[in-house]
Amino acid sequence: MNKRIFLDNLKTKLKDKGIQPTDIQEVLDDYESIIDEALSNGEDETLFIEGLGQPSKIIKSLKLRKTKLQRNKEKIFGISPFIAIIIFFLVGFLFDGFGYSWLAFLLIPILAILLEEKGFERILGASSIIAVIIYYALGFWFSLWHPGWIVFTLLIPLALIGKKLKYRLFYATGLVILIGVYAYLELTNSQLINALLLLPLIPFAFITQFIYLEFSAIKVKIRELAFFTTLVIILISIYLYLGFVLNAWHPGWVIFMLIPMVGLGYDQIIKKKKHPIVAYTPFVSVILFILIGEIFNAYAYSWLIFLLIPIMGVLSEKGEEKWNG
Amino acid sequence: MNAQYKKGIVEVCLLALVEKGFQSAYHITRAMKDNLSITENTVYPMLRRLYEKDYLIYEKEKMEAGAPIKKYQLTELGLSHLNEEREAWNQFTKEISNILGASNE
Repeated sequence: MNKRIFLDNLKTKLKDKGIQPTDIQEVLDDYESIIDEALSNGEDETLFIEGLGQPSKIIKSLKLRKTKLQRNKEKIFGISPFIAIIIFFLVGFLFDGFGYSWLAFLLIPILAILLEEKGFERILGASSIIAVIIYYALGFWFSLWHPGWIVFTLLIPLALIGKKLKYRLFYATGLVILIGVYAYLELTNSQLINALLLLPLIPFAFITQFIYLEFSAIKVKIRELAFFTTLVIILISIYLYLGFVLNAWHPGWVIFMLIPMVGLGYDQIIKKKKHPIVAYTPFVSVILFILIGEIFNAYAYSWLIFLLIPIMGVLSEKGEEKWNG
Repeated sequence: MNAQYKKGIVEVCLLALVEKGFQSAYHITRAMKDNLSITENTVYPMLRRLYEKDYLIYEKEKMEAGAPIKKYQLTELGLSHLNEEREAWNQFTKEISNILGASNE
């Protein structure tokens, strides 16, 4: 890596983090002068720049001021779980809708994508989750599972025109699976309506991978791609079994929560990246929430499971404080 | 050197280097790397922290080629902090030497 590439990467990351322009300029000027001086003292450009560390780690180590817009974004994101809980209760009690009011919790990833992602990622990420909400809303409220599923077909061209290979690959795979499922249904005269519940899983699985796995460098991550593709295929197979044989499309879809959880575990075991236990908690919470709510018809109080998230957050922090002294 | 030992004293070492006349981020980095095996990526954040604590000030010096360089100097507060920490360190090492040295006798 040379000076220009390093500084460009640093600038991009600083802007992405919503750092104030004056701080961005100061940091860039400082690093430019450090590198210039190192080079004039005969240091090897590549080695010296490698020693400076990755831009994302540099930013973490600096105390920089964020723009007002960024601070507001973080505030909004911070209160989104509480807004979701309020909506969940209101819809649940007022309309006796605990069976579907859990969709309010999708507000949290939607806001995260809207506030943190940019450009195409923002549009695609938000569209996918919104499509899931629309689909379930049409299905639960108006029993319009069919033709409500059409909403997902809008996502496929959106993903295919995207610049990033990962989106095209994922949605192309989804498209092939869809065609396969529909061909199977046509051949076996199975219930089309039930099978439509499968549809949200494609963007849902995509979103979970999109957020947590970051298949950003597919060329150098063939092993990961193979591992996770296999995992997704196994889970879809289990899901199809649950749906066709046991008629458990819902809540069978919760098995897809295993994707980000395995992703975190993969990071931890294979890549030796440290993830606090609280990172797993949202997925465990969703699984428990849906299973308890559905099996015992107890959505009115199974939401309490979500309190595990702040509890584990506090416990994790305390644990870290203990070890950090 | 054990990383935990370094953690507590490394900022004081940086202030001491500035006192000794190492003024630019690069030269401080070089000296820290040569003497304490500190990597390049830790020095700049530390300089910013010490500047924010008012232990350091800087002036920008224009160069014939390349970006202007910040030349750091200790403030009175920085010097006073350095002297306090130096005294505490000397006391600490003396006490530890008394204990560790005894086992060799």
